[in-house]
Amino acid sequence: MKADVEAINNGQGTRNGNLYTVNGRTYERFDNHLVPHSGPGFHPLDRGEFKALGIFNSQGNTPLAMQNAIRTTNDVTAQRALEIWRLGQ
Amino acid sequence: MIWFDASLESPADDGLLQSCMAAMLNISSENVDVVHSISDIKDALATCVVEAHSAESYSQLITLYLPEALPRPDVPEAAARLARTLDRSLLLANDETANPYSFIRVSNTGQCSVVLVDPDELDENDRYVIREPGRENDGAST
Repeated sequence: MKADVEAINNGQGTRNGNLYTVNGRTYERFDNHLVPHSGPGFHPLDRGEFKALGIFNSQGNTPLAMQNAIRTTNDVTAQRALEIWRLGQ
Repeated sequence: MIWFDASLESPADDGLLQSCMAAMLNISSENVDVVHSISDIKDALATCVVEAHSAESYSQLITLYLPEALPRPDVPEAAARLARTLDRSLLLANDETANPYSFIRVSNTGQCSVVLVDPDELDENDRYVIREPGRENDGAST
């Protein structure tokens, strides 16, 4: 992401309104910040998935983390969050 | 299962959170658990997980959980009731936009308005500092 943002700030990529695309990834500009929008490596999360992903980020892939993720969401959501967490390892 | 998160303008103690959440849901306080760790969530009808906070405004984050089988009341309406009973304003995620710096502020009278928080304060210091309208910056970062 850092390289993408630097590229956009250097005038590379394409712009469509507030959307900037570089290296196949699109970012949306809000005020002075670029926020991931779509493209390879970006995974939209709902509220439960986001919460569960935060648990795996802080506790790793452990039985307790999975137990907590299920406790806060459900089996399916916790499993999807774990799959996304694994992509970042 | 998670229902919604809210940041409180000023901290509330566990007893107040319990009674206000019970009032919001029209259930007995005995059916509301207020805990400080996800690991402590049990089988209550409603659970409020409270995170550590500082003296800063909106630093106390609460997450409300309801069992998956129960219907979920409309979040803005429920949050308005909660803000009124807590007598303090709340910040909620604004699900109407992808802008991570946009929030719904629910006043202590239950009025909702869209506000923007300072991106740098949120990203770098995890602080919710509501911006005055009209303050804009140039140059993009993440």
